[in-house]
Amino acid sequence: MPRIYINDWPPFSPPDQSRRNNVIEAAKLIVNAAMTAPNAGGVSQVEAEIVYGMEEQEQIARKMEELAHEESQEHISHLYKYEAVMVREADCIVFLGDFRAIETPMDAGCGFCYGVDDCRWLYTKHPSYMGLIDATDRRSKTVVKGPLCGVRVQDFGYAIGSALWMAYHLMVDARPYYTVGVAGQKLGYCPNSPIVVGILLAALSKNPFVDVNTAYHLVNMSKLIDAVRKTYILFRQSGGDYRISDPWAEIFRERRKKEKKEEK
Amino acid sequence: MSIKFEELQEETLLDVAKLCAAAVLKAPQITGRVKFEMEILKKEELPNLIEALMILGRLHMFCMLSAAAYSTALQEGKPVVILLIGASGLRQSELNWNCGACGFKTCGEFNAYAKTIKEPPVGALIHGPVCNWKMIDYAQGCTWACATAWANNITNRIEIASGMAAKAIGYLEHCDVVHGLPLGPMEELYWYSRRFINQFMSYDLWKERLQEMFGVLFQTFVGDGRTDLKITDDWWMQRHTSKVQPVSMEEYEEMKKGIARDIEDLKKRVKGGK
Repeated sequence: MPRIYINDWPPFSPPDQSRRNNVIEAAKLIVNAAMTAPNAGGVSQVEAEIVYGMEEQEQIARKMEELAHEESQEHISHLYKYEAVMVREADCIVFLGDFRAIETPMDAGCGFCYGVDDCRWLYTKHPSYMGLIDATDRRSKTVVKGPLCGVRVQDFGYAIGSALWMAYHLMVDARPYYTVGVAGQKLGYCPNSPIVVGILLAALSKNPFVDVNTAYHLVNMSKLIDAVRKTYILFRQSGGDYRISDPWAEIFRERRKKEKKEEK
Repeated sequence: MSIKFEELQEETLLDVAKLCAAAVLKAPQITGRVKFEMEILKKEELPNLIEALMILGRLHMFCMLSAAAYSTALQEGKPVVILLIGASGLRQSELNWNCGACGFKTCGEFNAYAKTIKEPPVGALIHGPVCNWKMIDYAQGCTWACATAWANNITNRIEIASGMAAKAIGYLEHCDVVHGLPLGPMEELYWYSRRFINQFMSYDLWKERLQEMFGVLFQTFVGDGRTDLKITDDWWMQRHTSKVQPVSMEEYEEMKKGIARDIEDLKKRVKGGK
């Protein structure tokens, strides 16, 4: 009879991989929830990617660490570094992007982006021809090449919220991250979107995205385990050989001595 | 003694509205900085809201659709309550992420500009500009409210229309953004496949708009160099064309002024009655 044995330790072992596979199945449903979220006029505008695996997650985490060191503001730099740890601890990552936020805005004169009742801010900040925005120049001095269409941003929020609602109902821990989205976008995930958010997912006994301590990039489970591996190996060498120092061996030796005496 | 469920419908909707409001507050946030404020409108307050929607509907057709929805429910004696979801502080960013999503290089520049927009213009749907990340968090709250209503089998539809109309006449007036979440009436798909639209949108009017807006669907041979449209079965007998012409901005501005006046009058009446 087929059996699926599940255990979250050691990470990426076959029993842990079975558990992660469950989260990947959940991620697919979570993406569906994002796709069916409310939006203005029912216009398709959200793209998604599901990413998992040790190498893939490590690549995203390293990109975040790279961004941390390019960032001049310390509080943001810390966000990148701390949240990179969470990327490594996650089981799976869902990237969501809104591909209409610049190129095909709502054109509703809603006031979200500039506080006026027309779309002048978007159309004067991005090159356009007869009301058609040319978004081919993707270079940007800022993290996001704004301005973005506010109605699209609102709808993007609906998609993220719906994704998280589904995650919570599937009892999968989830949180949305700006930093993960920025790194993912730079690595080419959700390639058509000028704004991307990364949702980290995990089904572990302890939610890895909450109760996060200060200096998390230096003080976290992985570092502590590594510290044990590093120090205990030395500590082991500071003790005697078990064949000699084990108190049970001593008792055994005493008993043998006694038995030999009696034999004589 | 038994109770007819019809008598309990509004009470049930109010109970669900409370759960939806709780869901808004529980929804995850990226920034963790959005502060929500909510109010629940009951049926006694709907006539004023409908009037406001009809005034705004002169500028935005979707407000008229919303007004039709509430009017029909009231006429049919079917209870609807509206959860107004408001948030303030979206027009200032203390995040200092300087991400550029708003189009300004820094949060400081955005904040300085936002302070210059004292009042939202008549046609604007919200009082912007808003920080994009806070707007995402606000929307997450709204969608959690929708999902809660859905999970409780209450038909609903998150609306800019009822939110902007309510704010315009004084509800959650100090909030930067207010959306409305109608809960009920208790029937399937009330807010979708909207039967009440037929009352004021005739098929012929709809067809006319389709032909104007999506002329390419009806376009004849373009090599003739004309924009002839096939809009009748015997279209070769009577050809039509859709002509591009400028909108009169004077008339547009006059219309907005009229709307502003009418909304102000209604607001005085509502505030006086509160």
